[in-house]
Amino acid sequence: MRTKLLAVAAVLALGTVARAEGGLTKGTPELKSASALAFGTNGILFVADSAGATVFAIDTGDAKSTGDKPVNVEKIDGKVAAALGVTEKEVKINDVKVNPASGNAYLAVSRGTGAGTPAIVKVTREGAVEPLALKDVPFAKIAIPGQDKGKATSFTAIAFLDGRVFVAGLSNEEFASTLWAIGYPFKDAAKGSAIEIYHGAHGAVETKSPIRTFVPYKIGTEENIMASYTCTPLVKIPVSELKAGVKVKGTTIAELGNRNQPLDMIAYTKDGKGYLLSANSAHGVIKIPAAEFGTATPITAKTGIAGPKYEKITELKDVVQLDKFDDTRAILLVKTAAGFDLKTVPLP
Amino acid sequence: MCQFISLSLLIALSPALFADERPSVGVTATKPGAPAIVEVRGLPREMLTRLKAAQLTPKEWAPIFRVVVAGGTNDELLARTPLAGTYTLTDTGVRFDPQFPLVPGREYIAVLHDRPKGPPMLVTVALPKPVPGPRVAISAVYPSANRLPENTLRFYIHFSGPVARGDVYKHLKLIRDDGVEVKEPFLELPEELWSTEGDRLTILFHPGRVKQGLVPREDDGAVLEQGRTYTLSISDKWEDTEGRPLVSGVKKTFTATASDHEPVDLGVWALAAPRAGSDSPLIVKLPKPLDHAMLGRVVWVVDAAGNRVPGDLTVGGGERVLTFAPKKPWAKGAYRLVADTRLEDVCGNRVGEPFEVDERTSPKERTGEKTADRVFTVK
Repeated sequence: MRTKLLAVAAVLALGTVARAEGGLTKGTPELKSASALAFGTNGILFVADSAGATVFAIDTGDAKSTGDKPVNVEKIDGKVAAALGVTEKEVKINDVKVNPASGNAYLAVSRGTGAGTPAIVKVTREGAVEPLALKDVPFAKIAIPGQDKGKATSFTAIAFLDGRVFVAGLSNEEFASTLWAIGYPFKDAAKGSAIEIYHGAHGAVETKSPIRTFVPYKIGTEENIMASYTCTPLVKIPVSELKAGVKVKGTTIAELGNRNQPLDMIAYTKDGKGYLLSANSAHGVIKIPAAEFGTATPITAKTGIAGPKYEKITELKDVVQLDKFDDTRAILLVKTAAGFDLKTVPLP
Repeated sequence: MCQFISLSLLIALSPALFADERPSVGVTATKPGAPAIVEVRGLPREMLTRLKAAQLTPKEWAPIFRVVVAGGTNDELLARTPLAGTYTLTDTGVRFDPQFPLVPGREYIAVLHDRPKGPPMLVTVALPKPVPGPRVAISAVYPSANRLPENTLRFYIHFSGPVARGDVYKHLKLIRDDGVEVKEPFLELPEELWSTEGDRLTILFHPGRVKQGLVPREDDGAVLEQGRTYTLSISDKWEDTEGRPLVSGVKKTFTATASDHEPVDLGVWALAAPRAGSDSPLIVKLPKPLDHAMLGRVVWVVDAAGNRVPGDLTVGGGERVLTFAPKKPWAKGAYRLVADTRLEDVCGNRVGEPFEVDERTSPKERTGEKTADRVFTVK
């Protein structure tokens, strides 16, 4: 009898859940924070939620091209704050990503002066600021293990590549660098797979600094994660080595300079050549040619600036976030005296 | 909040505003505990009929009725991006459900164009602000010792309540004994490392100046130098989430000792086993202070069968004493005190693995053990 009742309950439960495409279920993704964003295909937005120790996949329903007009909004923080019902002092823009399917920009935002509440805000090519109403939307989520009493992980970057979501995190207790590689669509039983990343540095001493930002990049036929750290070593980690529970040693191929923190990084191709474009706290925006990434000598000795010769893009100042807008342009979040501007510029 | 709060203030743009039969605007809730909405009542009947026929989108509603954050000139108000939300027609007017809850105590302006050519009505609405709790104090700073290795990796700052985030590093200074402020001693992470409960901030010393042989350390020197005394100063100007300064600032003074590159070793912990039948705690003395947060989380006791013994673990004595008080009296037999190998000391050295692993002197393969333990016998 009990089994029958359970079976009925299960059927009822299934009956109330509306299944959407690609393993997504319609409902309300209960974000606790919006720390970092990445887009998959067809307008699927991945949100790394540090406070909730969860990665969400949300179907934005925004999958049609909206033309080629650039996104340019002055004082974007003020406009976002106004739409969220607060002042610009009470919002923090944590990430900016462009939906490649539509060309609209998406912002991960904290609202409030303390821990704050999350918001995902769409900024259209016309400059309209539209917070996403996260109700009855197709979504999926997966918990990232490791959160414990007091122990939190701040997700610093997220990327989607060939059916896998990569998330880098920084713990508030252990000093370590962890990268999670999660298959997408998320499987119910699949927990994020933690990979400890080391890189050689300063003599033969290994270090396990936390990854600040990273971008997937193909060197020849091999997919790599190009990761950047505090004091800006650039480290390549072959994606094929990223397996659950293993310790992976990345190869340092460039030292981009000290007294500096990388803020954001993108990869692009211009005139048939590959580049990384990186925004930095002290060095500003730099353009790094990728041609030597495959052949660069690993850096194992203490050094100043080393590796592929990079170019400082001096006309781009105070950039705190950047993303590829399309094949020829980048979108930037720029700090100004009055707040923050969202700007579209040609890729240098 | 279930009753309709009549408009609290009417801002006049012209005397025409005070003509009879203007609609009323206020904040209300559809039911107790529900989020507040902004409602217009008493719209002219023919306007209501037109609006019903029009079936407007939120974007189309804004030129007729919108709610904006108060502040600034009238021109600024009228140009401001409206609050995101949904609009629903009612029998006598329209209600606006903000997508993000109205902040209690914050003033908002409802802008209503109820006359085709006249100026809009601007009505200030606000939710009452609850009486704020007590001001926030700094309740503790760890490591608590007043002598710390010069390669100390982090501080934890504990607060009695929520404080403002987003610009925390400006409130911190490290002053050397000669009065010189240490330049950029901490790693300024835009994410800010807050605990899950939001009452503890982790501050990391700049790792480039802690690790050996890195250029920042060679150029600028280590943050801490053995033999010198430093004061970590936390400003009372740090505000809580109500915009009030902290109860007081905190100054933590400590002397830097020789650097510590030794892994954590359970083998040198001094265990004082309790007696069988008693519920007195197991007392563990540590030869050096360990990480306060991790000590309380990644150390536990198991019985001979490997079952976890329920009890409370307390960290004290400058993070050099652990006490484990069992829920039930101890039975005779062997127990194990277990630690996760991720347990760190204040310099980031782990169980069996120093903070920095030198390939020339350390074994290539790590043991890979997830835990380490010490056996103790209750007699």
